[in-house]
Amino acid sequence: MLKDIPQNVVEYLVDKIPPYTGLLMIKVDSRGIVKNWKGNPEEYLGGTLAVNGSIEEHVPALSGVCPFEQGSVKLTKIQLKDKYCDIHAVKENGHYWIIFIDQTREVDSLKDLLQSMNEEQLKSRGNLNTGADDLPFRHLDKLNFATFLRHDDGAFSLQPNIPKWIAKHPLFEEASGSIDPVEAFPFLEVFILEVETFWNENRESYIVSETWSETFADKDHYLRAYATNFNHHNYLFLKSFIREGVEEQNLLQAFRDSTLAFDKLAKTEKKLKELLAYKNKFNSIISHDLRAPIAAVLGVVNVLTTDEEEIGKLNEDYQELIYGIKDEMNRLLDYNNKLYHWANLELGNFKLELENIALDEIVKIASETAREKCHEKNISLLVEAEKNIKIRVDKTLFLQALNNLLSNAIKFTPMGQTITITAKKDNREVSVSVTDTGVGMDDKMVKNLFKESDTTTTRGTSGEKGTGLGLGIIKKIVDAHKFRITVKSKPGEGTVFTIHIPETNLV
Amino acid sequence: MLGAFAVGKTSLVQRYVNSIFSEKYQTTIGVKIDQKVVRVGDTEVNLMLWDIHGEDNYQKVKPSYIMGAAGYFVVVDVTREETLEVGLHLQKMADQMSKGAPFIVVMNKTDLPRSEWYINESAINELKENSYEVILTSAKEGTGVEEAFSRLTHLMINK
Ligand SMILES: Nc1nc2c(ncn2[C@@H]2O[C@H](COP(=O)(O)OP(=O)(O)OP(=O)(O)O)[C@@H](O)[C@H]2O)c(=O)[nH]1
Ligand SMILES: [Mg+2]
Repeated sequence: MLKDIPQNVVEYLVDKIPPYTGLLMIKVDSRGIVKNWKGNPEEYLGGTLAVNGSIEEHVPALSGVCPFEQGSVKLTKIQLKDKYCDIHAVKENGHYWIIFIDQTREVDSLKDLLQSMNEEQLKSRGNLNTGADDLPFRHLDKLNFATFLRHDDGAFSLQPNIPKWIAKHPLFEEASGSIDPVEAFPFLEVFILEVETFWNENRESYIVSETWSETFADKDHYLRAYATNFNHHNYLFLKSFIREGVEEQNLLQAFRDSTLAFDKLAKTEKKLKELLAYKNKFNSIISHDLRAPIAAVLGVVNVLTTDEEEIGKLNEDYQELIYGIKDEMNRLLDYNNKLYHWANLELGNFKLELENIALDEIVKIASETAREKCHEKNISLLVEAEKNIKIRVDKTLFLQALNNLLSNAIKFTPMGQTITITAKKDNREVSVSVTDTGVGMDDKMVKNLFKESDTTTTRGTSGEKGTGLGLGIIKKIVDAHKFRITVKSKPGEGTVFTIHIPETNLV
Repeated sequence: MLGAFAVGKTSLVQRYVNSIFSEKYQTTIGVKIDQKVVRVGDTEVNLMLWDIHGEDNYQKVKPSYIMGAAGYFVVVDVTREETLEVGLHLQKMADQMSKGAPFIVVMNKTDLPRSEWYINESAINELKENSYEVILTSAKEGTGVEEAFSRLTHLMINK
């Protein structure tokens, strides 16, 4: 609940306030107008709080205190509707956090304390010599304080009354009812140095140690030590706060837990970024650095295969080998191109550059590109494009998608058959379809077609090897345009891929 | 036990004193004191272990806690780079306050996979070259814990 509290307020809580069991925090502006709160106001104020209401209405004790003049205000043991609270106000960035620390339990014990003191006074009326002055702190056990008197020789003696918690310390039993605080609580070794100085200076008031914890008698105790000087005697007090439900722990815990979680996230993010950068670099190496040697080999092979005289000098086996190299190199180059495009799309390294284009034009360009490959497999390519349809697309990318669809179709269509590319307007939507009479696919294959994780590739009808990238590229381009792509297919009959262009992209 | 928060100071003490380990993180408030009696040769030594809360913006380690220390550990979490920096900063303060008491840098959580380590061999070697004693530990699996405590005890006695 406390994660979004400013740091200086938390520092104040951790530093200035002893372990506590309950807490309400209300953020107000300098005029005492409620802005926000943490914790349960009903429990403390007996009513609901309202944003923009005045804090004074709810907490009369604060009337006249607002606007707060100083940095921090502190009121102790204020009775609210149902509780007693210490109230602190901490300034933060023009606002104030008013912190209510539950002191109900303390006050209940205080009541016992006052009761005992009053009773004693009644009893001793008229008799000034009760010895009460010798034991000025004898009721502090009700507040869980153990009181030690420090003698001039440096020894401590535990004063009545003895609180239950210290009586359970193992050393207490050993020393039959007494206990040396510094021996029993090694923490005091350090604090006692400070205390000695304080006592020597004979100052008024008291000093308080930091909190420390110890486990004894099967209980975790939080402890604080106090020292004072009273009627020329030196006193040391130890107070135990039982660990259960100590809110301070929860608060600091919440902060540290969230810091750890945040660090972990930040680390993961950093790792991911590194991976992405690596992937990016890897792709650019593939697409650029590998391209040059492929192109070089292809260049040599092209010279060889276009020079009839030269190639005629080789015997047939060698000629075939050269053509083999040419095919493989072309395939490698094609793969390389695809990988490059796919990587760029995948990494989001592109921005659509939309322009208005005649659909039949772009279909024509794509079919021209495919013509040669169709020719090689003796496939007839039919183009049925309606005229006068203008669409708004990224020309390069859209063309790339069409090219990929067509080369896919060629791959899976047997020699001598037909591929049709259709562009038409139905109702409000324009569709571009590539229909082949190829091998087709069953339902399961169709379903998995666009899944990234699917790396299985199918060989074409002439044994063409696939990269598994073609469809991925198409899908990315279609998605980037916010178009749709659908597939209809039957094994042995062929496949229809259709790109649906919505009305919004028609001109 | 000195170090940034959540590096495993409490866990190391609990492993050493009570042979237990808990996955749950419960931050220490203030100082927690434990004791353990060990034998060194013929002598019994009572080790008073001050498990001090971690250092961060919310809780700062009080120099006076270190004043009486006969020796100390600087605990580092190998999976959190910044904990080394915090540790070394605390070590500087501790060195002054304790007037050069012996100490050991403990690299904790070494049971976690190497891929998660941010403090690698070269950082550790650099410390060693600067004549820091470094011991790798895992409070979770218990590795190096006994070694670290007995080594520090040895250093303290022979000082
Ligand atoms: N895997 C692994 N986890 C550990 C090891 N030591 C401690 N932890 C975990 O790390 C977290 C913090 O451990 P603590 O011992 O509470 O750390 P601390 O240094 O005492 O923390 P503060 O008291 O907040 O300063 C807990 O969740 C432990 O379970 C270890 O050797 N290996
Ligand atoms: Mg701890």
